[in-house]
Amino acid sequence: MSNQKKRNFQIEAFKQRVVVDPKYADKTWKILEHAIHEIYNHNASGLSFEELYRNAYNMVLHKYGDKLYNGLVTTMTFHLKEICKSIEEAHGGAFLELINRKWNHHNKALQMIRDIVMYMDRTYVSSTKKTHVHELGLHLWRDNVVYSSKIQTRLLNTLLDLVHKERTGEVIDRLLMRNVIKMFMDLGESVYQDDFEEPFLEASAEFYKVESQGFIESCDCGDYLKKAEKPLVEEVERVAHYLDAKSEAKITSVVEKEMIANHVQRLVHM
Amino acid sequence: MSPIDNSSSWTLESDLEDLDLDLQDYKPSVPLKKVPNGDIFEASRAGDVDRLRYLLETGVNVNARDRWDSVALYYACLAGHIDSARLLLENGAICSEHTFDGDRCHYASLNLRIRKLLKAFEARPPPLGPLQASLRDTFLGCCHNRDYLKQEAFDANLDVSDNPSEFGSSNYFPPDVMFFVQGRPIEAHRVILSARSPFFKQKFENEWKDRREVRFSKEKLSYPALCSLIHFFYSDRLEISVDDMEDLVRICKVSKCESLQKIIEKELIHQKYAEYKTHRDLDNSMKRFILQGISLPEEDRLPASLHRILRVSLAKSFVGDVIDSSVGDMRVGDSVDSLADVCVRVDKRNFYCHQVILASRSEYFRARLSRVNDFHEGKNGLPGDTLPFLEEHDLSAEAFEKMIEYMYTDGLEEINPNQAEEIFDVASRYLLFPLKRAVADALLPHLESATPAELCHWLVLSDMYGVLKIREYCLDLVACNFEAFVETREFRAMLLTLPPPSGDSSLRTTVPSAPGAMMTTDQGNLLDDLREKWLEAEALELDMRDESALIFDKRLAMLVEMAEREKSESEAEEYKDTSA
Repeated sequence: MSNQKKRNFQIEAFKQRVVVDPKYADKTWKILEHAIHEIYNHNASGLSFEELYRNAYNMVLHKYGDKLYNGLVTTMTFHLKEICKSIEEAHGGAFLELINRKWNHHNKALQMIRDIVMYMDRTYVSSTKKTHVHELGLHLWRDNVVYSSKIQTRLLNTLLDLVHKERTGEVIDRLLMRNVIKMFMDLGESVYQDDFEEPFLEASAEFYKVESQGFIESCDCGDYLKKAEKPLVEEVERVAHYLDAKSEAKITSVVEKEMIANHVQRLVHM
Repeated sequence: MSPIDNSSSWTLESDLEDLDLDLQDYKPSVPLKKVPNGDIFEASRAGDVDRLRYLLETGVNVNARDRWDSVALYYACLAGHIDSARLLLENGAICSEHTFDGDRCHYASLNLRIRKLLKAFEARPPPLGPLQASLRDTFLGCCHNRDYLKQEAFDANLDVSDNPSEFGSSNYFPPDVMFFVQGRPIEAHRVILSARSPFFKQKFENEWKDRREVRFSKEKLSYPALCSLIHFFYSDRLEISVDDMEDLVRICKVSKCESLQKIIEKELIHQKYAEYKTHRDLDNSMKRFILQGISLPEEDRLPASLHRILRVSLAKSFVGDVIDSSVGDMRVGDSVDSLADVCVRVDKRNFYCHQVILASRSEYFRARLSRVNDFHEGKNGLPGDTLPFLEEHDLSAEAFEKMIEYMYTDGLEEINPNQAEEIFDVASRYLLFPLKRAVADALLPHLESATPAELCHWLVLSDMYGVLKIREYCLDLVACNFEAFVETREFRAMLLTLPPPSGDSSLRTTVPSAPGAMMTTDQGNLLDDLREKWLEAEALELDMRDESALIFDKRLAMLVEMAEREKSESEAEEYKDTSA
């Protein structure tokens, strides 16, 4: 009897039976990996949230949190690289449109994935001090798409080009601009500032330098000041439409500097 | 239950803001020490916030006193650890002046900053229970109700005011009814109002049955008073300006909230005749009245009200033989008397529940309910007039029943130790972490008579599910009775299933690690922790401690060897048995 008991003794919770299966972690991860593919391929309606969540939960419970987290990073990176490729191939006006569409899709997928691995996010990620899944998704998008060598400069130039077009009187799709610039803001203040705002301010300074030169040759002081006011109003309006509110002070000071401060001597003596 | 004047509350928030401005000046000049094994008093004195958070999570009493009759907050104030002090205060440490502990903290405060922090928390009501807090978040998560919050800007809940953006998105669960009072909207959930007031229950069963919007045209009905009342329904805490109290009495009368009405009437009379010497110069609009649910008779508090709702719902939960017929039976119309709006099927049993409660208590259910259409579950093809239907696998109906009992009432009537394990699992899975503590409390008395083998079992389980209180308890027992455990085969077998000690040298010597050195105290290695406990109980002092540690390590290695031998022996035997 005692012998029997000894032999059967195993610290085994009802949950631990699965661990007996050496392929458990791989099998479960395959299911979840498949789900992530499906989500990115717009196919989520065939998936069961309850089952996926349960699988992710059990993986973390049995200390496969590492595997799950790393797998998540790999799979998401794979999809973002695909997305990146498809964006690179887009031509002309479709480029910005496509970025916006893919960004929205990525966000939605990210939310669904985060909900599936919620248990990991709450326990494993917190205790190992890793990046939370939502933030991770943003970082991966930033590094794989926005900072991709073929996209980064093209994206910036497209945006600056559109702003330039609008300044010279063309009508542009402001909603699209707003969505794409919102993406920069969502990726973090530093991304917005370093990768959009700064070049934008430089380009603006350049633009108004040329602009003011033209005006000052042709107008008297009163007319010039009237003309100088117009861009100020326009820029404030631009900020309201599709830039971060914090940019307002910066762009107005650029305009003031280029239009007024740099010419103050000449204006006074006009 | 005393009127709290608003003027001090108003400055409260701004005081705290000031506090944060000069943060630089108060940075400790040396990094804080870590006390990975300290108790709440040591952790407070050292300012080890991580350890403190861990201890509070395990459920230690934040207002406990040590042998010097001091509370943890006293040490934090004395040493000037503002983050620790704040953590303690947020977890309900008492700091009121004119109490023994409170006054001691005020006098001991190292600097003005700590004093200000204490002052700011003094006017605060104690923290809400998990049920009340999560329902309150749901109420304030509705965007129109946030106006109410703004109006109550002084409201002392810092978490809310600190982080409004996160607050808005993460705790949002859509309301199912909207009131307009004096042109201003209030969003609410039917089941909560019905649970708390017979008037609302009756209305929702009849005239308002299919209405999503109710407009009150009576001029007399006051928006702030009704808002306060509905906020009270969710949170069991009434916060109202003294000027609105008479309006509230009228509303209570109509809503048939008798016990609340009585208390407010009494308070009004009291205010009329009593002289509030300190507050005499303040005009009434500045005074606030705060009432805790605990002042009401038990049957009128939130948990009891929801318990009644749950009982009605559970009475309807039956074993359904065929899925389609059992779900189809329950039309939305039928569910009106219990107001259930979701059916959860667990282990062949249907539970009729309330979305708002499930979603408020568990992030899992919030995601599940809001994601119904994104995934497969939304496409069950059920006719439109049946309830939303969720199926949960891999748990027993009994465990689920216990869990929803906890979700609705914040309590467990009784718990069988045999069930504890599954409930730990359910609590983890559904992210209902406070439930683990409730079960742990119920389980602890049973552990006193447990055998070493059973204790090993619980140690492994509590480590797996992160039930800190049980884990700590078992570790203490093992460390103090190490020799007895070593004798048992089960303990040795357990050693084989555990990950080996981390071998982290910072944990392995007596040389104090550099102050502020990061240590991974959470997700601790079980054997590392055991070793530390054993050293505390058995080891020699100072330099000799290293030698003791060495002995322990050798001992452990020997035991593991022995366990391996035993395992292979028994396997061989088994093989012999089966082949014979």
